[in-house]
Formats: sequence, structure tokens, C-alpha cells
Amino acid sequence: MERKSPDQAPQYYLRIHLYHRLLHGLLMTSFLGLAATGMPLRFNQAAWAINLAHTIGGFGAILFFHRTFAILLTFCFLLHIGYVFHLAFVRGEIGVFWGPSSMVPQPKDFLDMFQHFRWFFGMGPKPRFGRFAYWEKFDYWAVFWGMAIIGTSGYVMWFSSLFARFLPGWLFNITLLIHADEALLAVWFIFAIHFFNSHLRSGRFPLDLVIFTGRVSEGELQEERPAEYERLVKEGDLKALQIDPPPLWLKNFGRILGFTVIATGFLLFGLTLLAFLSE
Amino acid sequence: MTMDAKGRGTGATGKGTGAMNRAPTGWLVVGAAVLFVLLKVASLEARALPPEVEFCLGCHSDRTLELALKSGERRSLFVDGNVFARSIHGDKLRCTDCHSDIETYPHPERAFKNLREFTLAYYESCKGCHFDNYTKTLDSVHYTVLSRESLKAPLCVDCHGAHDVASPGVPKSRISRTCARCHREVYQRYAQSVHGKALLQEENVDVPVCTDCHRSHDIEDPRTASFRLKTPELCARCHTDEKLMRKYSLSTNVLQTYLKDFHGMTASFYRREQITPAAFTAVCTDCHGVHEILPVKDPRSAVMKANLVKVCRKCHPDATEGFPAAWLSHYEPSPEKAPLVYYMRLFYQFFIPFVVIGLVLQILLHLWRVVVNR
Repeated sequence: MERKSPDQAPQYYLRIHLYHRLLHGLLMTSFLGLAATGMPLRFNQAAWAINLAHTIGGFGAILFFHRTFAILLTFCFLLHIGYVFHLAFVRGEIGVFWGPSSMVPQPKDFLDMFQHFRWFFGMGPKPRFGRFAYWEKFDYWAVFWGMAIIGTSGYVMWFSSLFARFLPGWLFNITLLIHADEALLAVWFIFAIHFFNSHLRSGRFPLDLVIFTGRVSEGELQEERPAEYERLVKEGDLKALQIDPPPLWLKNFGRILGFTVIATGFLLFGLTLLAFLSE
Repeated sequence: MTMDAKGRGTGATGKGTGAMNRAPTGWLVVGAAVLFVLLKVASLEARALPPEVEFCLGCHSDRTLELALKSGERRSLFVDGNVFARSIHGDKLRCTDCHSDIETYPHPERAFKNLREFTLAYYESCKGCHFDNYTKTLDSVHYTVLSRESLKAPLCVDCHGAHDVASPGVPKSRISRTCARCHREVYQRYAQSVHGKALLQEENVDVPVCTDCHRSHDIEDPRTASFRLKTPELCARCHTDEKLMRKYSLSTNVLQTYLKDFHGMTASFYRREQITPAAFTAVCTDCHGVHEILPVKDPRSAVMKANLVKVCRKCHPDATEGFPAAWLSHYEPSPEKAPLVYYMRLFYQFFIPFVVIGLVLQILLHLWRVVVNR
């Protein structure tokens, strides 16, 4: 037979819901925008920073765009908080706070991490990861923490006169410091660690399209997240997650977007690293 | 004696016109003047004047010699040969070097409407020798005013004098006093400032006079954004000079701490832009004041802690009493000054590399395992 029978074509499962993909898109856009307009301020003595700021339209323009993206990211943050609360308290899915589908670190995650390191040194088998691996949870909380800290300090500086009514003046020095340094950490984390862990690791190189298509093949799910696969089979939820393979346009869309963002991110990572080392 | 525009003597004593008749009188006057100087100022030896100058002084040493102008104003044509001899040009120039339009006697007719026009007629005279400074003045705010608004804007001679040109900076206070002739109000404020007091009361030459900040010939319009943006650099010329600042126990950290702070960062950015909003960020003078600048320990100083909130409110109208504490007063954070900022910075200096290097190591281990397993 020339054509593959339906049985032979890999079955795809929905891993990331459209809502989360859109939210990730919003998060990605606003983070990239904030980094591109914020890092020139952080390294304002570097030539590239001045040129970049100039290209965008000068100091007034970068400030405007920085604040615009900040509002966008705040919106994104609030949407997510709203979603979690809706899930937990309206739909009664308390599992969002604890259990195999939760982002909250579970005892298994610490065990997984320990086993992962043993595996690195060839001292044991690869851990069987669940829906979210421990480094993915780390990613999530790093971003969560970052948004809370950088966002709060940013708003304090934006509305400095207002906040000075009830906050001591010296706090503004701390907010500037925290905002700039925590942001640098976030930029490096996203553009180096997150990019690597999600896209550049073996088996996924050079791009994991799951964040754009939302779908994983049966093989990928079994190999990468055996614990999750078994749980879904055992609880009979797997069938409900069945979905068509990702269409070509969606894959191409993901490729274009993904590579653009990764390239931009690496460029910013390199520039900020150089500027940091020459500080 | 009064002369008309043709240079003919019309006064009672001017009947016998002609240079030859005039010369002996001139000799006498110069001789008397030289004798006067020798007697009065024994230490100052009058220089011998070139014959041409002596010749001109034959008429022009007459104190009553005047030119009647169309406006009704009168221009004295008296030149004190002694003053000229002591001037910086005394042994270098002859009258016609500057007054190149006058070669004959009687002088060619020149129709001046008023006094200012008379002075303006000789504006280009200095150019022949002082071409660099002349061209610089063409970029100055004084020339802009002169060419567009008012003929009252100063020309070379208005600051330097004409026949009595002397080294402008001797003594240094002379410079500020020269500017004060027109900029009276600014001068009075300057005279009360920490810089002005030191200069005028103690003859201290370490402090800036007008031209140190504004320059002398290519004076820029100080009301422009580009001049404002240069302010930190201007002040820093002295205020980052280790030797000079040590003399007065002043910090040389002021520029660096400013540039690292929000205001300085913003200023650095705007420096590179073609279009800059008029009020964009605070520069030195916005907090410390410009001409009226006082020592920071003076209770009247604008940057004294008790007064600081008023300064902040110039740009942050709703600033509260606690607001100025956001400013570290040009102190570099240290365990003594702003310890919280210092330790926080220290924390991040270690925390960021620690996190990033740790995670990179994890990635490298991961990669290593993948390679080994293959």
C-alpha cells in the first residue's frame, strides 16, 4: 500500500490548550518588547544600547514602548491568575494546586531532580517525568516570581510620586536596583536556559513546536512523559485528548515565530552578557 | 573743538588745518603725557609710540575732539596716547592697522547715523589678526542677537575695549566684571554665590568666571536643551579634578554618581538625540542652582536636606517629604552610606551569576549524558 493507513499515522494528543498558547504568545511578545526596551536602559553606557534606543526612536520612545509592554504583561499576568482561580474555585479543580497536573512542586519533582542528576553521571535510569518536569516548574515559578518582583518595582518607579506618599524614599533606590538586576536575570534565564531546555535539547533541536501547535505525538508523550502517559491511560482521559496532527500552516507559523524570537533572544543575551562582563 | 564728518576742524582753534601745523602740538601733548606717567607711576615706563601714531595723536589727543552724528549723538575722537601705549597693542599696531579706511587727511567722508553704527563700522577690524576668535563669535549667541534682533549685542570692542585692550583675564575677576556691564542681574547673583564670593572677595582664581562655563567668543545660547545637556560635563571639568577638589575637601564622585542615577542615565540618552524636549531630566544646575549656587553646607542651599523637597517639586509637583530620600546625595552606596542598596547590589552580583552558571552547568551535564549515551 502506498498511502499510510490511519493506524500507522502517529496519533496526536492535545498538550497545550489554545488559551495557554495565546497567553504564551502574549507573554512572549511583551517579554521580548520589555527586554528590548529595558536592556538599553540597564546598559546605557554601551554603544549598542544607545544605537538601539536611537533606532527605536529615542529615550522617550523606549520609555513609551516599555510601559506599553508592561501593561500588556500585567494583563497577561492577571489573566493567568484569574484562570487559576476560576479553575480552582469555580470549576472546583483543586488539583491545580496539588497533584500530578499542578505547577506546585511535588515530592516527586525533588526525587526526579535527584534521579536526573544520578542519570547525568550514569548512576541510574532516567526519571519518568509527569505532565510538567521539575525544570518546567522551575521555569514557571521563575517567570511568576520575576513578573511579581519586576512588575511591582516597575510600577513603583512609574508612579513614584504616588508611591512616595506611603513608601519611604530610600525604597526607590532598591526598586531601581531590583528592577534592573532581576530583569537582567530574567532575560538571561529566558534567552539562555528556557530556550535551551525547551528547544535546543536533544530530541527537540532546533525547535519544539508544541507551544505553537499545542500537540504532541503519542511517541513523544510516551518517551518524554511516561508517568503522564500512564496516568492518562489509567484514568481513561487519553481518548479525550486525541487530536488531528498539526496542520502544515500551523507548523510553519510556529517555525517562523519561534526562530525569530530565539534569534532575537540570543542576540540580546550576547549583547547584555558582553556589556555585563565589561561593566 | 567739533569736527564734521569730513574731518575738517570747525572749532575755534581748528582754523589752521593741515597736518604739518598740527604736529608740534601733538608732540607737546605726548611729551607732557609721557612726563605725567613717569612722574605718577614711576614703575611704569611708557613705551615709545611709532611715528604714525604720534602723527594721528597730533589731533586725536585733543580731549574736545568730537564727531557730530546724524542722530545728534556725539562721538569723542579723543585717544589717550598713554593708555594706548600701555595697551596690549601699544607696541604692535599703528592707528591705520585698525582704522584702515583712513589714509589721508582730511579723512574721507563717512556718514554714521548713530554711535552704534560708528562702532559697528570697525567690527571687522580685529578679524585681520584675530581671525579664529572672530569666526568663533559668528557662532555665538551675541552674534545671533546682533544679526537678528538688536545692534546692541556686544562686538569685540564692547568687551575688550578699543584703544585700551589689555589681557582679559588679569585679574581674573575682570572677566566677570566685563560681562556684568550688560548682565547686571546675573552678575549680582553670581557675586553672592560660592564661586562669585571666592573670586570677588578672596581673589581666588580656582573658581569659574562667566567665560569658564559660557566660553568667551563662541558663547552658546544657554537656554537651549543642548547647552543644558552639557551642564554635567561643564561642572565636571573642575568637580572631577582630584587635585583641585582635595583643596576644598569636595568629592570628585559627583559626576559618576549622577550618571549612574536615573537623572544622569536619562541625560546620557538625550545627549545622543537630535530633538530633545526642553525639560527632560535634572542636570546639576536644576538642583544646585546656576549663578546663585551656594555651598551644600549653607543652610540656604537649595540642596540642603530641609530644602530638597522644594527642588524635587519643580519637576515632581506632588513629591512628599519622604520623596527626596530616594536620592543618595552623590554618595556611592557603601556599608556606611545606603547599606541596604549596597548589600542588595552585592547580593545580585553573586546571585545572578550563581543562578545562571548553575543552570548552565545542569544543561552541560545533560548534554554530556546525551553524548555519552550515544
